[in-house]
Amino acid sequence: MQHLMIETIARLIDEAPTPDEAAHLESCDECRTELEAMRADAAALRNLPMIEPPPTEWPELEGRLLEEGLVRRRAGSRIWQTAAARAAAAVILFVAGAGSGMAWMRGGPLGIRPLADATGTFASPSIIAATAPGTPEETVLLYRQAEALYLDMVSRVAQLDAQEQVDPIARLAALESIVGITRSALDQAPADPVLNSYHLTALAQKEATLRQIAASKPGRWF
Amino acid sequence: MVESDYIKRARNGDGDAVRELYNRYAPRVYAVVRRLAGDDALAEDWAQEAWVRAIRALPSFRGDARFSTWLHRIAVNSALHGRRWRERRARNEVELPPTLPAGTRTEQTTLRLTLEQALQNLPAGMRQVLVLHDVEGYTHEEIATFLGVTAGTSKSQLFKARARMRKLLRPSLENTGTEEVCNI
Repeated sequence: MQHLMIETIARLIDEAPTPDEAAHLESCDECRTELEAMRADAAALRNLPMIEPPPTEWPELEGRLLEEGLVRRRAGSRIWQTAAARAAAAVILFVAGAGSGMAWMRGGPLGIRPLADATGTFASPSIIAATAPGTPEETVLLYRQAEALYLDMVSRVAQLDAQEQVDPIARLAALESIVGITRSALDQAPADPVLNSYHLTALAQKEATLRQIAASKPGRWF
Repeated sequence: MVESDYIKRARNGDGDAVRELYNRYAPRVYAVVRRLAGDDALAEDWAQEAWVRAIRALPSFRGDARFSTWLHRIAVNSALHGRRWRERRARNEVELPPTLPAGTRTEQTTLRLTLEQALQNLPAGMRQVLVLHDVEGYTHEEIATFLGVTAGTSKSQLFKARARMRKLLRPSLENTGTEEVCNI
């Protein structure tokens, strides 16, 4: 049997079939199934959610609007003007993101031990994020906090790996979270070697997990 | 405060009002430019460009259409303009590696990730039409105006894009040895 062309089926999502096409669909399970699958694709596309812009977008946009004289400076706005300040901002972003990421891991599907607030050496990420470091010592402290948070995130993923039955989807979600955090931080300081090493490691792990998922489900994407 | 008040204040250069409008609509603007762009770096540039153009054009906004609709069209135009600019200037640039949107959390988002990845893998022309029609809900006539083509061309690209998406979402179709026939 000569089936309908796939582009014809794509047209039938929006338009009524001709009598010949309708007759074929009536008698052909395969083409009907394909049409239903394509309708499901279209419906899923219609329901794709909004995408949050990276947290660095507003500060950069505000800076440009100010430069072009399109807005007046807001009372509470802070525009990062120097490379050092931008690097500090990146680490702040990382610390804040890591904090929220771990909050999710705690309450999320991973069932991982609670965050040891007992590290006790640093304040809550939201507090840190609200305060730019003013001295070199404070900057060093911030980097140490970032490192501690990163290591904690990595150890959580390692705990997940140690479970008897690792859920690759949960692992992927955890790594996605880490990649998102490190990417946001790198937007502020693309050349920061510490943040780059975190980001590349997380990316490599994510890719490995994606390959694992793909290998476990040949012929299917989901 | 209602939206029209924020718009009036933003038109007069009030940074707080601009921030409020940004907070309301940034995810919508970013979503459409991200999907049209196919990667994060371009999307960030184009989203910023869209906002600058919109704030610059605010004095011409008369309220005939909803602000969100007006802004969305500016975002689409910025992205399409950005794409053409980039194609002219950087044909030989190495493509940035495809990345998935950050912040995915649950199993349910695996489907979204799959769709986003498939969208990213479409040729740019097909992706534009599919995003504008099936994701954003523009008509073929509107898409034709955006792209400077006929509505018929837009339709034809859409059907090809849907067919390609189906194949991307079900790789086994690729092994049938035919491009055009549903030969399951």
